[in-house]
Amino acid sequence: MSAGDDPQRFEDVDWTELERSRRTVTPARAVFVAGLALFGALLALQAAAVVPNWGFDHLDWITALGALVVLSFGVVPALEHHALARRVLRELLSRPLRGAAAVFLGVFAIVAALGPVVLGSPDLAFEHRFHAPYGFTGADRWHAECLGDIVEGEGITRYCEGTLQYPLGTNERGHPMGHLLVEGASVTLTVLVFTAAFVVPLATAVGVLAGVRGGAVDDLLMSYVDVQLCVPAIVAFFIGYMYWNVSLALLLVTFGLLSWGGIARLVRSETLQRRDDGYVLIARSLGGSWTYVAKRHVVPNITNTLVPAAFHLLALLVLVEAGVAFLGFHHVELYSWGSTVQEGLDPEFAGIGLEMQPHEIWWVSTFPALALTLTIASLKLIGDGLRDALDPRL
Amino acid sequence: MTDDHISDERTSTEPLLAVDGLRVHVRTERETIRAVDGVSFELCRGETVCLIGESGSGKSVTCESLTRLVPEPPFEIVGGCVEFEGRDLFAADTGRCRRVRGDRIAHVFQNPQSALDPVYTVGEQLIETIEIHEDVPKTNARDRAIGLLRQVGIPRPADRIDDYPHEFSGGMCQRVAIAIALTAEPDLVVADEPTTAVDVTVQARLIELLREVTDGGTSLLVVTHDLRVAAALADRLLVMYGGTIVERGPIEELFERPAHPYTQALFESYAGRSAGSDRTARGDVPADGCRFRSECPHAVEACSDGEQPPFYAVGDDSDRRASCVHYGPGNDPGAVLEAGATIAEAEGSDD
Amino acid sequence: MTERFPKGDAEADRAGASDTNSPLLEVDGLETHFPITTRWLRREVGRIRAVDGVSFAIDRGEAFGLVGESGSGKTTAAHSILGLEEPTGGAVRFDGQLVDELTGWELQQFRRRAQLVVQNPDDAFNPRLPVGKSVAEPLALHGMDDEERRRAIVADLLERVGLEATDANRFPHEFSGGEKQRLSIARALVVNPDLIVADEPTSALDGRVKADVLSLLDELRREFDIAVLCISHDIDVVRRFCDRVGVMYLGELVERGETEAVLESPAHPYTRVLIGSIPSLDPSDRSLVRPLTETVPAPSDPPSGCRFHPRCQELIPPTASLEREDWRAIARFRFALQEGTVPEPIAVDSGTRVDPETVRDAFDLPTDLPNEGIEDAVEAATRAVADGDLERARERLAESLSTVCERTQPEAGDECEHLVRCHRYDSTIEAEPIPWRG
Ligand code: SF4
Ligand code: SF4
Repeated sequence: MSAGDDPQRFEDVDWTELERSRRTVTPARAVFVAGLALFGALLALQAAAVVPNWGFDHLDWITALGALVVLSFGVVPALEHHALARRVLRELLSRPLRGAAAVFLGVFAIVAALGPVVLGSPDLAFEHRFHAPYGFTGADRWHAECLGDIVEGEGITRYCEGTLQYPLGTNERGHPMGHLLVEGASVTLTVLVFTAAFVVPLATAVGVLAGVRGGAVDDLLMSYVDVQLCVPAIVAFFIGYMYWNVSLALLLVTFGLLSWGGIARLVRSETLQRRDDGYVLIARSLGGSWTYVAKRHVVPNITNTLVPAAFHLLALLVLVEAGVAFLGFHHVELYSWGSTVQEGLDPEFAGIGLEMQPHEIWWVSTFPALALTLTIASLKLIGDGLRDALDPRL
Repeated sequence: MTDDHISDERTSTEPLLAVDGLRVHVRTERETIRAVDGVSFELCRGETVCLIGESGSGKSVTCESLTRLVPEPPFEIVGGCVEFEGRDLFAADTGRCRRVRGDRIAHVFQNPQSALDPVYTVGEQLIETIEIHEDVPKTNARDRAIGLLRQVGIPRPADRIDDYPHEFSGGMCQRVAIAIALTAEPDLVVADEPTTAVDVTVQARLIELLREVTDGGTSLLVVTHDLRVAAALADRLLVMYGGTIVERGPIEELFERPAHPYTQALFESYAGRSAGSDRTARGDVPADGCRFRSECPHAVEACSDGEQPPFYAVGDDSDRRASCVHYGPGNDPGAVLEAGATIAEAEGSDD
Repeated sequence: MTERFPKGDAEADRAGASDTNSPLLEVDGLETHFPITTRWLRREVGRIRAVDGVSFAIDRGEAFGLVGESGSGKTTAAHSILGLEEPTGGAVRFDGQLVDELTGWELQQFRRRAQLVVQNPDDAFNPRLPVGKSVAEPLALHGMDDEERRRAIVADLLERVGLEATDANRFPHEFSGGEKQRLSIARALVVNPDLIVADEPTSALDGRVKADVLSLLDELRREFDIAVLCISHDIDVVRRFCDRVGVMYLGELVERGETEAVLESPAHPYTRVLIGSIPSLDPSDRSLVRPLTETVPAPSDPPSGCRFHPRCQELIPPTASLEREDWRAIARFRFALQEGTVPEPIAVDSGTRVDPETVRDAFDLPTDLPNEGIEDAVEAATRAVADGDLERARERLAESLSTVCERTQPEAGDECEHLVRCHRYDSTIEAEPIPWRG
């Protein structure tokens, strides 16, 4: 026992000796501050032109900041409470469907984070456009150069077989589909990181604050939420679209910051139910601050509603991003899954004068659609799985 | 243990309700709990019987099983029969059971707020019940509902009939619940901890109300954990422990001299003296032999033999029975009985 | 409030307590009102007087019981003492120091030395934490950063409250109600407090478990010389556990004294109703005391004068010439009309008219009262009731049946040791106390 010769009975504790613990430096905070310092240094070095500018734009900085938040307040605490984290993970992986979803999301995150760095931007290769995936064939007349064998069909139709150079085929610009999927995943990951790092914590904080404080604070916050719930994010986005550059950042800011009202309300009503529970009273009577009570007692006990709702919001925003991109309101250089699906479904528009049916180039739309579906389904499954895994009563 | 008592019960009157060897199990994922494990008793017309026991003794399950009110599953009535006016309620089709349940046997529950539907006014709920039982025009039903509310002591019933349950206090809700129970003029009211959720002054009024109900000839089966409530209401007492009835008898004699060691322990807890043993958490009730033996100060070897001991007469009194080997033939119950008398005395002085 | 409870009320109580040193906890004229506000702008439209002038003192190691029915304000009083609710008036002193002036280290000390045991064992523990963590929470909050040491202390303590050291790793839902209450006690004890505020410590338990938990608390309190403020609606618990007791009604302390004295020969009419409502353990004695009327007034609009007056069996008559039974019947008539309880035969609400005689019979009203003014008033009121005009009847009775109980608030009684807030115990008012069970 590390306590050495400290008395181990409560009546022998010398209370005047124990100072009130003021552990302001937690590992999470340390990591966060270190990360911020690193960013600051990088910015300064860039500004002073000591290191070359890598062309980081707003979005990259926001994403990096979001990643830092997720790392320091999500990953670090999980490592600190590794026993709990391990139990949760074990629970999660013990059910096949949820386990599969967790593995999928894990692979997705790694690919999305590292893929674009490794692969770089996809090159235009018009001569290789509309190659079919490996093991399938596409009409040959679209290609300037068919990489695979050419198969004779009926009459004058000739088919070009897919090759391993483009295992998932290519789109109208000759971008490899695999590469596009990775690009789309990175866009999606940006959405997820932004939502998880900023939107969900904001919603939770507002809900908990309103519920715990009550009174005028509650009135004010909830009136604001009511107003916010009445403003359709899509309208805000279109207004922004008219006046500023279209960018993913605009989408994230408008949708992200206008869509958390529902979660805030949910969190507030759950908080109200916990506020008068015995353990909250006890913690308060011991001098625990409201922040302590919220962190230690309220938030862990509302995960049953908060976690699924948060994951629902993640899935929703991923879908919104894809939807907006599908409609064409996206930055041309962002290869979102949504825009790729759209290209595959509208060959008249994308196919540069070629006559074709969407089903003839099915791979262009099917693969990203599949990726989108899997991602959203996994998010939902993980949401429910985490809820169950976090509840010791189950 | 079940066959010897039926002949001994007051045979002069035909019992209104006869329960014989009732057994109810709860099946959970992990185990099967024998919630009610062979309960037999009878209840006569106009009589008030209290079923007393601590939480987990199976008293509520017993009551709700009488009319098959327990949710099946997880509960399962695995044995025994319940006869109401000589008709077997379990053998009869469920329709008849339901009719008897609504018309002849009425239930009152511990938590009145949850027994009333919060989205309907108390008037709507009362009138609905009245219309189920008799064919009356709406206005008459309303008048009758007001009358019932007045009968159970709701002030300004004509105004309050249109209020929602949340606008009533706990005691008033319980009165409404009793009014609903009385609509069909039942022969038997089964009240499960009817006064547990209310304050003592309100409890006193509810006790008086229940006494009025029985004065009208209705039988009453009260489930309670509170010896005081039992003392105030009961003609006869059934003491339940670990799913079985361990002692029964007329209230006055039983209070004067509790015979079964468990009953004695219960009385002792009222005197403020704990059983003395360093009993912390309730140990699991053994599955055979006397259920109480792990906690019983008088336990002997014979206690772990066979099944729960049969009911033996206590003293010369044919009505008093205790399920304890010390009262068996050839044994001298003197020491055990004496302990009971001392406890009751200590109790009396405390009051 | 200061006029009603002159300074020294708590001091008087202190004098009555056994120890002459300053008491551990001193509550003087404590007042906690909650504003009733409109939904918008939070304009205050009224106040719920949950606690309205409560004074008592608790000595080191003493058990003081606060009894009362739901809505009497006893839990709010406890929360106000611990600072969980903001008191709107009065003073709470802990170890001679005003609690709301404590800061820093001293406040920290108060928060350690005064612990709370909450009522409902089912929500007393954070369901997401193993109970060991919950029991150790006070240690962690009070600066014990060494987790091993916390664990060792908790393990030792769990065994001393009758559980096992390994129970620390289990979750709250795995325990029974009685076990959870033991854990609650352990959590309160772990920081070695001087005062435990136990809010209905056994109301969720029954029978032997209740007795066990109560005797555990009692043993621990004696062993460590801890004062306990025990909030309960259960007279049996108070009788068994408390040295002294205070009785609350509608936010006020109406009687306070040695447990024996208060419970065996209650002086205040409300205490008498409370005690008399408990069924006797003797089945041959089935009498139950009734208040004059049943309805408990709302704490937002308490009756004037003595708050118990519309329900008081011992209400002081306007003149001494009235027979006690007669006066009681008249008073009951008046307050029953006020709360709207009309007996069956009259049933004014269904629109039928009755004759005044029926009204008199229904309320058992006496005839030929010696006092003319009262006779007239009763006569007029019965006629008004017969006509279905309850409002007029109420006014007429209120006009001519005015009693001192309704007009002025009773002060603390003359005796310091045994406080009774009732005019009958005030020597300046011409009314004798009625003997208990007399
Ligand atoms: S049978 Fe034995 S164990 Fe059971 S109550 Fe009697 S003496 Fe005790
Ligand atoms: S002051 Fe009057 S009304 Fe109040 S308790 Fe005493 S006698 Fe009753």
